[in-house]
Amino acid sequence: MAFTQQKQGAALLLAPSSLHKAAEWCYPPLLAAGATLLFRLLRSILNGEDASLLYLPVVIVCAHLRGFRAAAACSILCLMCWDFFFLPPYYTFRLYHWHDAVTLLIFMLVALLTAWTTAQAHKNTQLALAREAELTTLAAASEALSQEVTAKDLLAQLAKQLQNLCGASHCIVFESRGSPAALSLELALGAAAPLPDCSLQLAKTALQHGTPIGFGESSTLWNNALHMLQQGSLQSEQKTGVYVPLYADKRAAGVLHVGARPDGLPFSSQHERVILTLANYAAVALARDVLAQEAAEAEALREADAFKNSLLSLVSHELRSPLAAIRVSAESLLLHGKKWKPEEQQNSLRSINREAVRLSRLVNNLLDLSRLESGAWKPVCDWCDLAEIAASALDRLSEEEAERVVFHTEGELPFVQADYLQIVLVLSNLLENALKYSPPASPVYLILKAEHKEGEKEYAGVSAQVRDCGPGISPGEEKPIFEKFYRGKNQKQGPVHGTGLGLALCMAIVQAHHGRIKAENMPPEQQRGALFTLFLPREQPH
Amino acid sequence: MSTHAKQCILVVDDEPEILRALRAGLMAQGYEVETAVSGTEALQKATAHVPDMIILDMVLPDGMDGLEVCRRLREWSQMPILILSALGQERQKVAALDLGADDYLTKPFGMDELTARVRAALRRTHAGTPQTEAPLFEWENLKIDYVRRLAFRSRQELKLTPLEYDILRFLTRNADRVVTHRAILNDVWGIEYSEDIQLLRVHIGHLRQKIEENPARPRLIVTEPGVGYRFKTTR
Repeated sequence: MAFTQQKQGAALLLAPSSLHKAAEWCYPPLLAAGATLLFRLLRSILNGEDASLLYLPVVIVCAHLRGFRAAAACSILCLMCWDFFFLPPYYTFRLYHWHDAVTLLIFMLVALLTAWTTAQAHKNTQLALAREAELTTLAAASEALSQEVTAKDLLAQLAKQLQNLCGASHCIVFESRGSPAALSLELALGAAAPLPDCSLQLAKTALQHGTPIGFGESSTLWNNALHMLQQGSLQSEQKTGVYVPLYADKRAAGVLHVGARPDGLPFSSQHERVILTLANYAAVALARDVLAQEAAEAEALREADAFKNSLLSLVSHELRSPLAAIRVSAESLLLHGKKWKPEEQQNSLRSINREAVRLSRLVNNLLDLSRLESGAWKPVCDWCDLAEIAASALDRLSEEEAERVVFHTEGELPFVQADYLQIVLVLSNLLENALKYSPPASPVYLILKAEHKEGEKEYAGVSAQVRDCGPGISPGEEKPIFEKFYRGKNQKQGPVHGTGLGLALCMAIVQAHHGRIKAENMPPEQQRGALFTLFLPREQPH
Repeated sequence: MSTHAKQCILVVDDEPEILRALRAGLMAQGYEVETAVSGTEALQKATAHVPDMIILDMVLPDGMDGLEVCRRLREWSQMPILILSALGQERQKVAALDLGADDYLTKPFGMDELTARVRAALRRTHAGTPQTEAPLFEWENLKIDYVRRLAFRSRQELKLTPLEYDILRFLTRNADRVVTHRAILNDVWGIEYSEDIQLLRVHIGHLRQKIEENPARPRLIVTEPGVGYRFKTTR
């Protein structure tokens, strides 16, 4: 049963090409008949010998359109028509005069010669055109390769070129990561029907043997592969196309599969050359992708290493000093506390407490940041009122800190999709930062306002501004202050303790919310100070 | 129970340093303190001594975590449960509160905070009349008449929508307790709305406009980030 179905499939596959061939052989008789009819109409003004004036162009046209063989057939047909209709005795193939026979013979020779030259010229033009297209494609491909396009883009481009140049029905790149056995479908273009099951198997065979399969009428490798697949019933007409292994730097990068032409014709040697050249480009592109990925991984490792190093230095500086303070205070309390006056004891205890608070803030920031960076703390967004978030952030400050904050909202605020806790963390970090780096008792402003889409009434999101009256940000530090463990130059003066993590944490959270955060100084005509602006979009993409 | 007798608190945590610090701090405040280092021991001691309150860490050894202890306790006891949780355990915290825990504190916390929460929890259970049955609620200039479903601010009647009144009733009935979003939504809207936090936020916003002196810095209905709300009658 399966066998007959396959046979039918083969017949269907054959049909288009035989139709095509039949159409080709319609040209000579049609052209000859047309010329004969025309000459019949013009018989009153032309002699019998003048028929060559009409028949010769017809032969040339045929040579141009269909090549030499069709033109030769056409010239024979024309010769017969001429003799039959226009040379006495009419309506027979016999001839009265010798000179008629010579005329016909000369006509035949001239026609064949002209047809040959024309067909050859035409063929050369076609070849030149094809070569030109081929070269243009190759040039474009090599240009694309030299530019910074991703392998995916380049492969898509190559596949399109292959379809244009070789008339391939589809084009597929299987990517190999590591071993040839692990082939995965990377990109499929123009594959209308689902791929035959044997495709992947054939691709693997090509990669294992390291030679392209599918070119030429009978390739032993092809037959072997098919035999291996136990699909011996598959006819050569049923070839699914060619499979070219992609190797770059002796590393298997993948397999390029070019689907057979829809007209059933095999790929010519030019096609083969184009396919092989483009396959080289594809291999280079894939290999480059792998290298880029390896480079990125190495870079990530290097960054992680740098992070570890800076963490170590942070641990030695920032964690040690509060710990030392706590130990000193606690030990002296234990040893001498009983002899101290109550207020001295209180002072000592207060300093222990203050340092412990500082330590726990630092540890919290570190933990939050590492959870965010490892992706373990993804924002859980629901609709939030930023004013409520701001109130929660203010609640996290101490009483005297909160009193310094001047908080107001401008107009109505839309709800925004955000993770409540994370944004509380951002705002309280920004506020703590502003409070820390500005003169004692100076105000810190927190302003919330709705942001509209450009020229529209619809809300784009909400922005929060935190402004202080401190020394501001040194020029050139607007971006680096959001990096981990970065401490501004202005911060190093004075007894300000920071972790260098607060703003990095803000940045990480805001980026996870697809928002923006930036730091700048107040314009010179206004009061001095730093201005941090946070923008949160109204909706999070799904 | 006589108010003269010392109130007993069961503290459950697996870290001896924390246990020691809490025991010292709470005993200094005049409470009797029992300790347990695992879920199983906590349940044993809770049955044997019947403490007035339990302070429970969420992470415990021996496979029975704070959540499970909480569930088992609530099967037979209404004693106040104060949850101690670490950073990043928001879900567990909310789950424990939904199971009937009364309050939570996030580690690290200060002793001041802890004793304030303990006092508030014990006051609720030992108040003369349980608050859930009092016909009137009064705090500062706010007065709620549960019988006539009316609320007043400085003797002026507040124009509340039925939903706003219901939220206010639920919050004040549970004054000084954390109530989760889900608890409010279940009580006021019904079980099918229990995930619609946005809806609740809108109504809380309106309610604050009407009862708070400064709605931008709410002092009565305070937000418990990520958990719910608390009607505060302490400073």
